[in-house]
Amino acid sequence: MPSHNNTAVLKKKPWVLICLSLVIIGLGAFIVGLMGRHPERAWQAYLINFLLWSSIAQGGLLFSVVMHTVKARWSGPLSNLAESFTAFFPISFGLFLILFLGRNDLFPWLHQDLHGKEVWLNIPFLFTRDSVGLLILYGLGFLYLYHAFWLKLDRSISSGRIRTFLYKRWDQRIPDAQTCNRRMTVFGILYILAFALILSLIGFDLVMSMDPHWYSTLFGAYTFVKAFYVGLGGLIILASALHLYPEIEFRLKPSNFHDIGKLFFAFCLVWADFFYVQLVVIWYGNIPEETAYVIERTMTPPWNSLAWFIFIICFILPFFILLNKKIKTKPQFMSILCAVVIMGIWLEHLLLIGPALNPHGSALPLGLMDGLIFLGFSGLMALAVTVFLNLFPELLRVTDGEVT
Amino acid sequence: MTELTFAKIDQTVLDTLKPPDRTYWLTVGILFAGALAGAGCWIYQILTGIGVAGMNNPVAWGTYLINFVFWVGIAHSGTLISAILHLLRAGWRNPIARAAETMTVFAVCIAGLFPFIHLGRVWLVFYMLPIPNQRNLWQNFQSPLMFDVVAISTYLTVSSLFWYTGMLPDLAVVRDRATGIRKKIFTVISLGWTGAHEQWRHYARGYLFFAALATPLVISVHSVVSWDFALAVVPGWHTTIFAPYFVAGAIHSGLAMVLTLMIPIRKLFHYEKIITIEVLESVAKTIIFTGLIVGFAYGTEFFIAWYSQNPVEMAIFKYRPTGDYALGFWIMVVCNTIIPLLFFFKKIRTTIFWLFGISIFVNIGMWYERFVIIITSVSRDFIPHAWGLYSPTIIEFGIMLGAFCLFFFFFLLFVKHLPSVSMTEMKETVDQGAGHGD
Repeated sequence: MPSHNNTAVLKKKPWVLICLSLVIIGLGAFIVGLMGRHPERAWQAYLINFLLWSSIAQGGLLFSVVMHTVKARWSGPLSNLAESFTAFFPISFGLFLILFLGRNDLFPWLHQDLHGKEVWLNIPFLFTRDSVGLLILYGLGFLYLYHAFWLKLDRSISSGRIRTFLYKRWDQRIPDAQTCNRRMTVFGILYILAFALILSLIGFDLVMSMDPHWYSTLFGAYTFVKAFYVGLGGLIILASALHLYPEIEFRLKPSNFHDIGKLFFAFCLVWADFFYVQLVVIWYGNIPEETAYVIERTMTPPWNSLAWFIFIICFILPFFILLNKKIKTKPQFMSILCAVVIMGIWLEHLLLIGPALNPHGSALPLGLMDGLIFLGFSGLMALAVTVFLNLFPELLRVTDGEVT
Repeated sequence: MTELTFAKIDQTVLDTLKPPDRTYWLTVGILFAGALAGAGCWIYQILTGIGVAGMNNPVAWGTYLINFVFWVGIAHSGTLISAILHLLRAGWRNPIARAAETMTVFAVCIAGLFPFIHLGRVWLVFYMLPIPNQRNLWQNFQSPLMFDVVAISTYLTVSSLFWYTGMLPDLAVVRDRATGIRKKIFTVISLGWTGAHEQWRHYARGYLFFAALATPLVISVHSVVSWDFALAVVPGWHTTIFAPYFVAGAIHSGLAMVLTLMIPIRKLFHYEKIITIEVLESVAKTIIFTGLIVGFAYGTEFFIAWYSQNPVEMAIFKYRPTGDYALGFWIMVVCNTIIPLLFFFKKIRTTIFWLFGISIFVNIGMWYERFVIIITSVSRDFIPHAWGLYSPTIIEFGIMLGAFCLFFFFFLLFVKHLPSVSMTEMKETVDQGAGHGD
């Protein structure tokens, strides 16, 4: 089996060591930040990275789910690869629980008069509902994956405890391929629903409520559209990296890159559309309670230049670049572009959260520590995906046509 | 679909253009009479004054604007099917794309009538044109209503061109088989199509570009329609989710109308082999999707109204489900979000009876959605002194009936005089075997 040894290179020490050292650097920077004079800055970076990397994982799996649900034929190898992002789900849940420790630094509304909003905005209820929500979302993701694996896993490979466990279960109860496929559709649809609802909830609770007096009905939908956008970006980076890595037998056709590039382009437009339609309604209505939020972020320094920078690197730049067909088929170029967009969305989270957490700052709350913590999280994601692909090398199998 | 050959497709579609029988003309006549009745109501309104309609102070926007939004909404799924699904290479859109696109063109035309009807003194409509004049009247280009004029007329232009361009090869097919006066007409309107390689190349590129440009256009058009409301500072209207919510709602209603139109046509014209049950099933599945988006928007609006603890927001969202128009609200919720969920059952979405029935419910529900949005918000202003109720009068119902009759009248004329299924695209489908119930 070529695919059996396919990921052996990923097991090689240097790569894992690099990831591990990134994680340690990030962790170190976070701890140093916590002990410093501004622990809230460290928590701010932590929250932003939690939101960003979780949404890459959630959006990544959404790709596979949506492709299965609409019976897409072009996406086989990419769908498989997208499933490897589920490895981040348990980590994401753990990271969310850790947020609890930073509650005093993270939620500005704890010390404000909320005029009746206490019913919704209080720490016990917030953490209960969001943990339950994330458990449901991730649970559905794993149920989908469980059935996808039934169709996909190669029984001749039998290493590792997870495999033994899965095979044992499948030996006891033998569903047929059709039932499995149908269950994938059911859990897939439920995952899509949960994705919309839970990500809206997370967006309302962890981002919008940072300014408890501001509200926008589109914010939830904006959050999950953004998550799919970065999820596609993450998937393109992963696919490009594996495609370009000479020792792994994972070669995609240019048409695969072209198609996912078009989808990325489409969601670039959807993101910009949601960004714009939210802004224009508030700008035109010009009600103080709504515009204050927007004015602070788009018109007053230091945030205004950041807002423009984000809009340029997340929309204007990718829009004009992605109009070109040839560029979409170049994995090197696409992975750079996607990385730029992901960093843009990182900054976008900073733009949404930052002013509430740094009310009187005259300079952008951005420093070396933020960069190091970002690296730490990226190492965590890379490590999770690597371990997962090592466990399940079948996900790297490139076949023609529909896999599931 | 092994039995479907090129010749068979041509034959089935061209058979629909044979001289119609008396029942057809009778139906056309009845619909025309209905349209005339509507026109009569409008003339009566022009002669008597806008007071014959139920609109009052504070409810100055009534059924005319409800119908306007309703028909613009109907138009949207035509472009979804013909453009967006074309870009997504969804093969199942091919058999219904032509009829859906036609529905778009007619629905935009009908929608375009309503702002005129809504005007009290329609003869002064030229005031809306940006022409230099001694009255010193100049349009307020910052008004969303003005955006709307631009958006709708662009949409009509683009969708008509898209529709016509897509039809060219088919018109040539009709021309080649026709005789007499029909041949002459189709010779002119097929613009000298010969089927040369070069023509096909341009046609395919042109169609793709049209699709790519129509996609953002269609989203922008209904976003602008939503801003007629959302940009105003009126509780229940001023909410950021409106643009995506209206776009999804528009496609929801349009897909339902596609089912309402396609199911009888499929039966009458023996299109069963072309518009297979799988095609209708795919439409039904898309209706589930749009229905869920609409349901998500309803839910979010209520949640945020409560979350905001803003008294006016809370008041309007309490008024909708429990106030004077509670019935309309519950019709809207049940028809748009609950009933379409029945399509989750395979048996229901593959049974013609249910498909047709549910499509009617969605049509009704989407009409009520616009009713609830428009009427409830203006009938309760900020102070109780400015509260009022609205109910449509017989004249408004007459005009509404006339609009429906006119729409079906156009559509009926279309299906008998132009190819209602794209032969070209059906042949592509057969060739690729893509997603057409195989």
